[in-house]
Amino acid sequence: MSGRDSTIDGTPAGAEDLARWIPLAKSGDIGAFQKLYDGYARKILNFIYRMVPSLEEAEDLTQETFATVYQKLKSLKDDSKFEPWLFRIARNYVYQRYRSRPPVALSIDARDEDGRELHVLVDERKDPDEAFQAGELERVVQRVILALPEKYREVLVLSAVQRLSYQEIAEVVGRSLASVKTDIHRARLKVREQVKDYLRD
Amino acid sequence: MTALHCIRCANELSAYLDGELPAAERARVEAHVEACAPCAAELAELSRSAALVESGTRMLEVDPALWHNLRVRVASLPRQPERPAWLEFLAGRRWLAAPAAVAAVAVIAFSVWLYQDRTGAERDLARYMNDYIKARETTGEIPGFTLASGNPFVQVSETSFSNPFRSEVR
Repeated sequence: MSGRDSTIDGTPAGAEDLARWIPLAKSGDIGAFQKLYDGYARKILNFIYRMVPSLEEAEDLTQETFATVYQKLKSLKDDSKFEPWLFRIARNYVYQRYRSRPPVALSIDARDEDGRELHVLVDERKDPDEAFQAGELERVVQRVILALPEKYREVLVLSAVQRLSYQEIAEVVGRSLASVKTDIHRARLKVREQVKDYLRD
Repeated sequence: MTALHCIRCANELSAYLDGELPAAERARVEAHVEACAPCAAELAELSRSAALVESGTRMLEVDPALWHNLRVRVASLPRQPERPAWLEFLAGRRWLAAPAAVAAVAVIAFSVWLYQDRTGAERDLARYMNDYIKARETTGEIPGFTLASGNPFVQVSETSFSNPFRSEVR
């Protein structure tokens, strides 16, 4: 369903292919539900992982998201809105988790997918050449994304990582298209500011 | 085609990079960037920073154990029941919400008006009865009343003492 590139992230099946499983999953067909899970779990896991700094927590919230999908799928009236609806559920779980544990605490405990602590950006810059080694780059980018204010982080992740169109993002976050467009631009400016020293190298 | 100013152009650059601009707006941005070195530099830097984010956000793979856990979990979950047909009918017609709300407010307002009118009438009757009984108790007669029959409720007032439920004051 993504407006730009629905296969860039390696999703096994296109949104149109997956859409045919929705009515069956609504009727309680576990096989159809599994098809939807296979098609979207990776996207949801990666969205949540960019919002919270722990793989374990991201996996936990991904499971919560799909359990809710299984229970509430019947309430989805327009099947073509499945993906924004799914991301909305995931986003709600992320913010529920934020409410119980504020984002400031999350960033202090920030860890990457291997469980290593994410370094503060300024420390990474001690040796830019090393910082740009493949693994380090991921850590730097993840740290930059996590340092963004939530409203900028979510739209940037949905746009730059998940490749959702601005209209789809507006549906997920419940803000106007104009607001989403502005927030994405501001997020990109903040990211550019954070990585400008690396860009020069 | 109207030329873009730098500030306006700068605000469109992210949407331009994301392919989110309509064709006409896209053409205006491209024309401006070709002629404006600072905006071209801004676009190049934003583009490089976007590429950096893209290359630094490797997609994680989902642990297969996650599905097995979920499969066990959903097997014990209650599913949301089907909604009744009338609720489905209403849910698909959100435009009905505004007229329904207006109708509900009108019904409530009319009910309040009826209630107040009734309680006002009861209040007037009580006041009248009170005055009447007080007059009977203090004078044994009704001052200002001339008895035309034995029934005080059909007496005709000759003074300002009035029965609000009778309009035929002479």
